[in-house]
Amino acid sequence: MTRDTAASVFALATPLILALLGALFGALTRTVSRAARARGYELDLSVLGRGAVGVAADFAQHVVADLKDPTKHGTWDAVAARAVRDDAVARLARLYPAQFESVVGQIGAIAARELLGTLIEHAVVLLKTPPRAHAVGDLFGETVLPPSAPAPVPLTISPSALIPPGAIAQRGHIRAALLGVVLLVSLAGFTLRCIHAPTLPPVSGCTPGATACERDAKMVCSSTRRWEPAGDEPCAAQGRVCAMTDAGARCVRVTVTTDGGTTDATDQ
Amino acid sequence: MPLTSDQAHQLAADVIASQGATAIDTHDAAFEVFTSLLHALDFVVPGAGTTASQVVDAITGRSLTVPGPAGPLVVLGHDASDPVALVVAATEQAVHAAQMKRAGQIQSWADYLGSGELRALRLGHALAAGAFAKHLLTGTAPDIDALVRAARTMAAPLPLSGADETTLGMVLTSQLSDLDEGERPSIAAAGAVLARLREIAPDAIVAGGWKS
Repeated sequence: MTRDTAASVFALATPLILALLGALFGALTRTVSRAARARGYELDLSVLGRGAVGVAADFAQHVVADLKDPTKHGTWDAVAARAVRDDAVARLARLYPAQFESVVGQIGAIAARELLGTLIEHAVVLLKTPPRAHAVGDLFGETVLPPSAPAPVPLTISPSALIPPGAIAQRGHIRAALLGVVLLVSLAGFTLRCIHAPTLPPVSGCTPGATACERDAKMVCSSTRRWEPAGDEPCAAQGRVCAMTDAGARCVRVTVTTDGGTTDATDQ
Repeated sequence: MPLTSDQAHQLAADVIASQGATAIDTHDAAFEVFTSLLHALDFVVPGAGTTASQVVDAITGRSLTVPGPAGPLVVLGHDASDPVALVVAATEQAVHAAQMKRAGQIQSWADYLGSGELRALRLGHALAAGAFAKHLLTGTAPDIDALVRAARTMAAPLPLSGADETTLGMVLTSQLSDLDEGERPSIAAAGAVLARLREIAPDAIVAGGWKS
């Protein structure tokens, strides 16, 4: 493919490419953002699940045990059970504010409190199982028991089961994001193949600001000591000739003198 | 006699055509169709419409030269009510179109985007030709410092370093310092605007000594 052909193809496709790039970038940003939020939400749930075990254990050993103790004040009934559950949820939310806010942001305050309630209830169930048959990690499908321990009671909850469908469903979009990245890289590669490096002339060591005539055209010495064209056409295009004057290189009028058949270039 | 709007449009189109480019006026119906097509992309690629709007917003109110299938395209986003501004913008963009033709449409982008020095030179040539057109139509002597400041704005968001601005000033000085002595900038578009202006509206040439 010649450079001109590539240029024409590129030019024809420029609006479409710009739009596609924008759309791909937007989709990529949204996908990555959603995936990051889903992963963060998953981690928050994990932390809350572990916290729920601790809160449930604390309430079981103190509040519930006292209520169930006939020698102590209070009774353990449905109202008391509900109140203890609400207190446990409130404490869990208070102890893990960042994680709780994250869950609220995903599913709303009411649903978030219900979710904490289920975590507490599940933690209570775990606490009631035989001591070596479960571990804290079981709550999220992880086993921290030694290999010799009895098989745990299958009370595991997959994190994905606790995450709203809208949040976890973004996982599949990672593939689309990767495809977008591959497309962008391919497009950039194609573009770079068509584009050459900037065409700077060689450094000549001239004095910056100096002027000169080269092939009847005015030249200026750039700050990087390169001779650069001061214009894009020779002085001949306006019926003049490039000559050095007191003010530097100028396009001066040509005056033809007949003495001796010489041609003289003069300013003016 | 001041340049009329019709004369300005004709002059702008002629100068741009003389450098092998095609003019597109953002106030033309054709440009409206073009922007509508860009917006219609939203139906094909969700989100593309927003991008198209950003592209259109970016070029509205300013003139620029872009590669085209049959040569550079000059998009004129000038103030339509100001004939002088139109001619100046057209002359500047005609210079960029000539640069694009000479270096290659993609290479000229690489030069402009990849080198501050080349960017300064390209802008210097364009501004010198534009300042010459303005000088012809208003008689105003070019202000080099003001032109360097204008270049800073035109180059944005790409930067011009101090050294680049110095180079730009050298080019402008070299091209514009002898206007009073009848030496026009050695830039093809400057020659084209002078020649066409002499044909279309010689009475609009205010600067002394340039009518013929």
